[in-house]
Amino acid sequence: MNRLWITATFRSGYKQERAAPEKVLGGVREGIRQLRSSPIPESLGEKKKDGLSETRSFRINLENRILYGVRRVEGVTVVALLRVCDHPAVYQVADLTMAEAEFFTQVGATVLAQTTESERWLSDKEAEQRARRQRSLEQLSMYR
Amino acid sequence: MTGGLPQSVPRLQNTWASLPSTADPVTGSVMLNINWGKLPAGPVQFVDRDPLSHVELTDLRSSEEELRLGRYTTIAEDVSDEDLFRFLDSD
Repeated sequence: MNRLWITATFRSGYKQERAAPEKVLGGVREGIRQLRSSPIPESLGEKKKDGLSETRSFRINLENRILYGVRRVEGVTVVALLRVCDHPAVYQVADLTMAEAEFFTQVGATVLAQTTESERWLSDKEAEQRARRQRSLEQLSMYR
Repeated sequence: MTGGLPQSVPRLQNTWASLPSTADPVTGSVMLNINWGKLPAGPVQFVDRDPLSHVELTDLRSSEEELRLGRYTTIAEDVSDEDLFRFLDSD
């Protein structure tokens, strides 16, 4: 299990989600379970950009997201649950709040733990990016 | 440090071992002086929440809402999912 760091904003959002249909709340709980148990939680979410570039977005369903971050300290993976909300509202604040930024400044390092699994995941990601670049180049050359 | 410290405090101190701390011998709460980003240093209190074995960090200078909820909560690796959701559902 990973250690969790839960912000007040997340708890507040979770409280609101408790009033949502059971299916949505079940999705939020399943998301939390997966983020807690995954050896590479980074692989479960899409990387965000700009002011939220250190965070990732876990897709619960079409409308709902969990915004989270990952750090590793002394061999322990720490997952910060930052926000949970419907899609537009979760990104309403375009930058990290001070309480959210504390996680990234205080806890661990950005690098993935040097495990075989994380190395494999990284190399898969790199291979995927190389293939995508290659496809783009091929498409470009077709139009020339 | 003296007094009956909550069991989960040492675990947290291991994580942030560099933070200076003093303990209240009566309540067992730990007071820390740390820098909150751009804010000046201020008092912070760790509140134990047995039996969930997690520690809540509360900035005493925060808004009423933040004080009620705590700025953030850490959930240890050995806490069960059942206890985690009981905690999340307790607000």
